[in-house]
Amino acid sequence: MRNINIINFSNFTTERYIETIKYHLKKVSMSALAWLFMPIMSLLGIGFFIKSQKEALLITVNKIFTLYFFIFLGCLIYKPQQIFFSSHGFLFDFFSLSFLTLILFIVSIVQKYSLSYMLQDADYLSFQYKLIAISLSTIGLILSDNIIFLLGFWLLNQVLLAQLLAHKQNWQEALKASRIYLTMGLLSSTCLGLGLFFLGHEATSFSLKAIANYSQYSSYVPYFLIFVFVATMIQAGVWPFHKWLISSLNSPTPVSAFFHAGIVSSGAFVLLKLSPLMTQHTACLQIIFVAGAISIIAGTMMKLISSSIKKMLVFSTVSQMGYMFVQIGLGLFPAAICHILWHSFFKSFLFLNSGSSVNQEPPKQITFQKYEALFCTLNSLIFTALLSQIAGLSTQHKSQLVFLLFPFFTLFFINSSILKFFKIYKHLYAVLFSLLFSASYGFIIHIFDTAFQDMKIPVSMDIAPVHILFTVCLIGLFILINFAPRKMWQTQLGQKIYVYLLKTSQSHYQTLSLARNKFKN
Amino acid sequence: MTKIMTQSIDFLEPSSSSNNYDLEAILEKAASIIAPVWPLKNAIACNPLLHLEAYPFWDAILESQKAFHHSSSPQDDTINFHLITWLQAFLDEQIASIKMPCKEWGFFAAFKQLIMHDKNIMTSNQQLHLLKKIPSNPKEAISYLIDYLGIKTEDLEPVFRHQLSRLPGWGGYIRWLSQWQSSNNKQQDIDLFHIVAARLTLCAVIFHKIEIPHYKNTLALKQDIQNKQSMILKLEQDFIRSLTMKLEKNVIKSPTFSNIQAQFVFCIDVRSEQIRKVIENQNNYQTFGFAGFFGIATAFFNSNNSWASCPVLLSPVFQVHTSFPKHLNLKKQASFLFKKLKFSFGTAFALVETLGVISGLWMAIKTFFPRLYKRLQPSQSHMSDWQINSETIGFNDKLSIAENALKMMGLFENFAKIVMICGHGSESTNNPWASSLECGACGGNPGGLNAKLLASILNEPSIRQSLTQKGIAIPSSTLFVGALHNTVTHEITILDKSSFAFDFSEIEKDLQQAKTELQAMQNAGKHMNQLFESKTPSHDWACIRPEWGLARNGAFIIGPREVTKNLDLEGRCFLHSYQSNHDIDGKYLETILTAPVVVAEWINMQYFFSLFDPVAYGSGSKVTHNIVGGFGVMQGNFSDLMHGLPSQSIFSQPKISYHEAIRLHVIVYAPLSKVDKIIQKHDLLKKLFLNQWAKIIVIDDNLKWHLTAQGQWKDGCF
Repeated sequence: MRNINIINFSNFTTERYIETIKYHLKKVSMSALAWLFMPIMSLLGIGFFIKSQKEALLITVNKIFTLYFFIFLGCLIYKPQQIFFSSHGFLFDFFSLSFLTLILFIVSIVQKYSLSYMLQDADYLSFQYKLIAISLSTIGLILSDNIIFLLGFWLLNQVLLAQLLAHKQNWQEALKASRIYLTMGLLSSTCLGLGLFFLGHEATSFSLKAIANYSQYSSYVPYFLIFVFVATMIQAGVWPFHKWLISSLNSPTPVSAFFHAGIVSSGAFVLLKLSPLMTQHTACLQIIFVAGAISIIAGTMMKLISSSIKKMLVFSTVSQMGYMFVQIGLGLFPAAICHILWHSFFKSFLFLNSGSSVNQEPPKQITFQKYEALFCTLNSLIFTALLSQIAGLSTQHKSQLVFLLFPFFTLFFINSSILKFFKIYKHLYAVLFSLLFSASYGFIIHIFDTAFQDMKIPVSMDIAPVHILFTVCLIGLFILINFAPRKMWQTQLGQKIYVYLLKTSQSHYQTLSLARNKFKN
Repeated sequence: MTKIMTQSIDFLEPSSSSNNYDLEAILEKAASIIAPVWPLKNAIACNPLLHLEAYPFWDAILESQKAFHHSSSPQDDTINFHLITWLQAFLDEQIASIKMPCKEWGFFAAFKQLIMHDKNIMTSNQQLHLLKKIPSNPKEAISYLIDYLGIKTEDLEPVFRHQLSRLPGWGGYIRWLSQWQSSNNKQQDIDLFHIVAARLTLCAVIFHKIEIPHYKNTLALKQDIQNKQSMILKLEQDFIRSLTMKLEKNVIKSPTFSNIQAQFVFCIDVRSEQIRKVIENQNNYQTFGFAGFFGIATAFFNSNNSWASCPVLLSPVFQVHTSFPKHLNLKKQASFLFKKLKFSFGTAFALVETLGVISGLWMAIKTFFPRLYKRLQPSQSHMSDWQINSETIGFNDKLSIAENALKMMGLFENFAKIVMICGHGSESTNNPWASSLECGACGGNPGGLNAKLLASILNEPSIRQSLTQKGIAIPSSTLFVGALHNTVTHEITILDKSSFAFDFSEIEKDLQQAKTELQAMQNAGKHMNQLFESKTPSHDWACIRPEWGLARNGAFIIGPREVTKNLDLEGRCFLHSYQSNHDIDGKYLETILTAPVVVAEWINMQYFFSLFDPVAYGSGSKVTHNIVGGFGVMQGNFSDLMHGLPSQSIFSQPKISYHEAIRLHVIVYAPLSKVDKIIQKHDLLKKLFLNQWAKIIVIDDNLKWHLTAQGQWKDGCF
């Protein structure tokens, strides 16, 4: 209100008006946090005192979230430089803007969904308040630049999430899952705290941005970075810290949806913020690569043997986060951002929609002749090449070839599925779908590459032995699992692997509702 | 016309063991606490105490509760853990891409083979040695393990019962698989013997001992049941008194048959009662109640699948081909490709990035613009454009279907120009329990196709000609029209409207009006916050309870519509049209009592027990449900297969129940002697009414009779 009063209406010209707006926009966006928090907080404050209209209040909060989503989406498209600011320990740049928009989108949908989904639940209002609180805390985390703020929001997230996981208070196993999460959350907070504190100490700054861009670190830095990695790996549920994630299903569906879209990616968010630092230490990138690679393989294998829908989605997250770590490990930061954003959409959609998976068609095995294999391989190769052209992947980084393996897999599989299961115009369809896929995928990568130009890795990455090992493993497993006959699993070795996978894919024993007659929720 | 399946015990084979006990008989007795659990695809309501119906009602409850609430030891929990893990892997046909190895050997053999590799179980060589000695045939394995564990013969039944009662949901689904599934679909080799064998194997291998349960301290349980009993009896008394009072006070006007605009045949379902009343108020309309499969025990099939569209007590006699429009096929292929990529190794990563933005958009549409979503994703359950080909039903069968249907519902004279056969179906999005809201008489499927089939049969000139010879003269101007009543929106869609040369606009206007009135009526009576109540429950993916289904059901009235007309029955009564003066030998009443009443009793009992003890017979809150294998739900990470109704279907608010736990009161308008004869004839009915699983009241010329547990007819109602 005060800002508007300053505008002098007597000297009004259009240019001057725009100038004034721009000037004030900058000032206004400095208090963006306040703009976001104030209406919601004050509404909640009112809600604390009034008794009757609490529901209307929740709907208003949801509308505010949605409105802010559209505002920031507009900013994301038009990129007005004036809104970006850095002050009071908060940093608002294009990178945090994109994450902010994502979180606002997920929040407004999950909240709207849970308004009617959780109806008739015992602690309906407290659930809604907690959901709003965790949304705000995640937004705070994204905007923080000061590592103390960052840690504070990080810790607050863990505590609130543990509360949401224990939403069904009468259910012992849900309380156990929440406690396990809290333990892991505290561990990740400690690791993050230690890592950032040491880094900050060396860089003599509390600012995350300054820490990331400081160049005169001592040789101990990789060890400090490991702490940060561990913290983000715990948060992202990457192997070997995935156990808490796969034990977290004793919570209502919207919580899982928010979890796998918002929380899991906030770990990756912090990691990406440190990307300038990591590019100076390529050995660190290889550690991230290895963790991600194992996560991909373990997560996918366990996903494919899971027989319950939510379990399958959880393992899918484990493998997708692994994929994102692999992208970071290869130095493809823009692609990693792209993956986190779209994965959040994808996974929250699948969770919210998990009630629809009754009576699906059983998966069928694909087998094919030599010429078909040849056709698929050739077609996939051509379109992978096309894709890399569209995406504008530079040949300077050889390690990026590893990345092209994944679209190749998808293309190969699209081709072989069409050849196997479509009845007419098979080859035409195969080419058409391949074109559609490679064009859209390449285009999306290209968009992110240009949008996050400044995050591109400056040093050239070569192919390391771990990259080759991983590639060989992946290709082998791709062929074995997708195309080998089922007999493979009947052998003694196959049985042993199956049993091992099945047993290790179980959630924490204490979070399983084993006794039917004690179950209550 | 239809063959009633006796509840035979399919897996009873001649005893193979040479021991002095009869394993099959003991297991069957022990397993009486396990009722079949239908898969989600057609989640039929079933009495959870089905196999205890031979006992008096309250004794059966005690029996079931005793077994269920017997405390679980850590040993039981460990066994549950291993068993659920392997049952999930074995029974899943739809979700996991990597199937369990050795599945073809049958459950027990595969289980025995695979746990050999489980390092948590196999900690020593002796265990491995023991495991190898156990026979792979489940029955032989049980005999072997009984000797090994040293279980005395008199302890066998309690041991088996205890073992089975630990996981009643999984056991129930296996019971369905082995006994109720139509035999041509049978894929998995599993029955309750496999379960007992697997449990005993785990007992022997891990613990080397078994706990013999002693059902001693049941005093608290008895007290609890008694408390509930007195409450329930009072509720029942209040209900039946007020109902009979209403029926008594109702002034029965003999119907006027002139100028009837249209006649509607609805399913007996309690949800039809209210819409019938509203429709009757619109104009000179006449309505009838008839089991929603319309007497046609048929299965439908198309290029992809087949389903039985008749009560599960009957086995389908006819196979009718149906086809749906082509565009559905193409859409299916695209989504098929998507699923293929999602469920394979290494292919989902690039997929996420390509489709991420689309799924985001789709999610926003579903959440914020459900109406737009409905337009983009039109419901397939409409069945309006599904074609059926009834050639597979012979002429004589068609004739008997037509004759029986018309006579049973009492519509054999005074035909209106339009006779609308209304099947019913539900419409919901993202609801695993959707099929439990469909027509129970159609085996958990929408009844539109059956309605269409009956209408097409009755429209055939040759059938009408033959009916005339049987004394049913249908005027040539009369049209039979199939329709579908959507129980969520109360919309009635006329199926194949364009194929009739008739102007439906008048009727449609009235139906529209009826829909609006009924919606307003139901909104006024809602028990919850209006703000959050979804305005578009049929296509809102967040809607947890699109409709109340059959909640609050309590009575089944068999009689002419005149006796219930103009009464507000609050949607609590099944109504079956019946006129005893046209049913001299009681043939139709017999069919009604042995088929629709039994289906209604199952439904009533499912609701009853889900409220009576939600822990034992309900499936808990829907918000934490996790679909397993595409056929059932677990709670959260891992649990027993949840059977029974979710709490959202029973409770309107936490701890405030919407349903009332009362048994089904069957009220028959017929001569007492006729009813008595039918009950005497059928053991099934004797079991139901004498053991008080349902109560029967006969109204014979304004005199009320009820049947006591001792088998005597007494004056008045309970």
